[in-house]
Amino acid sequence: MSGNLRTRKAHVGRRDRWEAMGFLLPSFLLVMLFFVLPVVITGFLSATDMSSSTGFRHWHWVGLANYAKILNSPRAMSRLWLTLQYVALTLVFFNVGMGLLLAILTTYVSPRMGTLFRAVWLLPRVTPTVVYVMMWIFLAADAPYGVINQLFLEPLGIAPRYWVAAHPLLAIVLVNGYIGASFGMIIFTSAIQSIPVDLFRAAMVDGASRWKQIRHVVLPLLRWPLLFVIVYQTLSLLTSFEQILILTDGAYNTEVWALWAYHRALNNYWGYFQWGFGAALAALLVLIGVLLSVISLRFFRLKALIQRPLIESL
Amino acid sequence: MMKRLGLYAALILGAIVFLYPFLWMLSATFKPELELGGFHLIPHRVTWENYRLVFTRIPIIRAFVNSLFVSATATTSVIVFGAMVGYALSRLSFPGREIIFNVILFTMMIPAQLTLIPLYTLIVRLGWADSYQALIVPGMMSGFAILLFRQFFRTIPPSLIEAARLDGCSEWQILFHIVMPLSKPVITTVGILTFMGIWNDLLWPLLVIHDRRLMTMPQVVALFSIGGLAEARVGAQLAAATLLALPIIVAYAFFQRTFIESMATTGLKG
Repeated sequence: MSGNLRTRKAHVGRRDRWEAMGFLLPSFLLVMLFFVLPVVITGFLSATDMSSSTGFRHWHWVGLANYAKILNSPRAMSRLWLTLQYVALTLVFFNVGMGLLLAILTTYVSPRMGTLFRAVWLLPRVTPTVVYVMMWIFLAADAPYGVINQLFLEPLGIAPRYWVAAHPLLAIVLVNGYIGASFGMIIFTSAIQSIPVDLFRAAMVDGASRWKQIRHVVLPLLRWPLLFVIVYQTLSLLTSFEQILILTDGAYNTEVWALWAYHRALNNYWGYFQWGFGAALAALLVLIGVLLSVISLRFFRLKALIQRPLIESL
Repeated sequence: MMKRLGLYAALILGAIVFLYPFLWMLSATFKPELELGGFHLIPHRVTWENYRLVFTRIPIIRAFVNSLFVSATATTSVIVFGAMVGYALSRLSFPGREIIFNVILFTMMIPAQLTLIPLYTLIVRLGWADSYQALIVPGMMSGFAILLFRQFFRTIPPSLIEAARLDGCSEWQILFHIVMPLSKPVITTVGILTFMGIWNDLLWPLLVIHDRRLMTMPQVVALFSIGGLAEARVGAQLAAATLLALPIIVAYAFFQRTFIESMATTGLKG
């Protein structure tokens, strides 16, 4: 009986192996072609001078020249500074700050209301970027269209203007922040909802106020979700530029690093596309992303900021 | 009680701030040009002129069909391939399973915008520029979908699968006849997320498609509303934007409950 079972198991094991191959093959090919290969090509491209003027045939190896060119470029530092400001402000105030606030607010009302409000706050993420950014452009538009001008500033006697041009950094932070907040909101909400209700009851019995409950029960248990959101969103803020592309296309000093790479390599007015140089820019961006992740893991001192939970139930 | 009221007031105020631009946009598409400056939501005089202009100036119906075709094909494939890999990773045992799982997690960490340049050169070399496969094939697989399917399949009782095996079902039959019908929530989530991502995407079509007949909705609307084809007719620009956003927002309104709930419960705990 037992021997019989063993051979059957071995048989199933072998069958598993072949079946697994069949199940994995299509995705394996797609991953190789569209994820692994592009990463390899980025490294290769960044060491060449390949561009729309050399074509795919007449390019040369240039070693690290692209990287040297970037580091010596006077615009690199100002773009890096802009990118860091943009990422830090959006992350702190929206992706983490507002996300956390929304998660806490919507879990303290009835579940039905909470879901409804969360659904509303997800709208900017659901809406096509083109449409979403167009709304901002019209809201911030100069007279006679801008709602912000008419509704809030005319009564105060402030002269109408195009608000994106007047405060470009604020504009790109707001536009991206309203999309970004919903990611943290969803992650934090599910984490808060998985906290056992008993913990809140115990805190209430001990006479803890709302604020103390949040400070000493909720936040400590959100350590991992917080870290996850910080690292993941830092990377995505660093590399995403679609919103900025549509909002300003880099005008008013809003050309963040990723948009710089895109302009140089894929889309610009004079039609000279430097794929090699752009790939080097992208590779450096990965490096910056990894560095920032390490920094937020090490020096953000999340452990000090948020005390260890008293119960290690998660 | 007062505190509770304050909480609701804050939430409702926030919701209004969020909803107002959408309602304003929708109403603006029915306003004559002279009324557009106003922030009132009900047009004094309703006009269809803006929509007429959109339909006569740009191939918006063709773009709609293109978008639908591209998004539906890629989404179906993401679901099928995602379920296959998710099943293999959760219910089959074979050497290297954990390594493969880690590779998939790694692909999730690569932001799509980073591989834009090499992917573009790759597509051009494959001779796929200006073709449907350029829009569909790179989006046929998603690490996120695989992760969601794997997490969900782990909650399906192994005895069910074991019983089917004893009855002589192939793994293929088990997946598509037994496991998949039990997986509607995760299929819905993956389906909505993928469809939405591809429907809304502007960057990739902008790079690989230059033939107007192959353009997707976001691209055509961007060209019209931001690229200047609308000749500064704001009402028409917003009408085109509304046509782009409407299908996705209606779908979202229908599915948002499933969507939020499954997104929150499908193991994305960090």
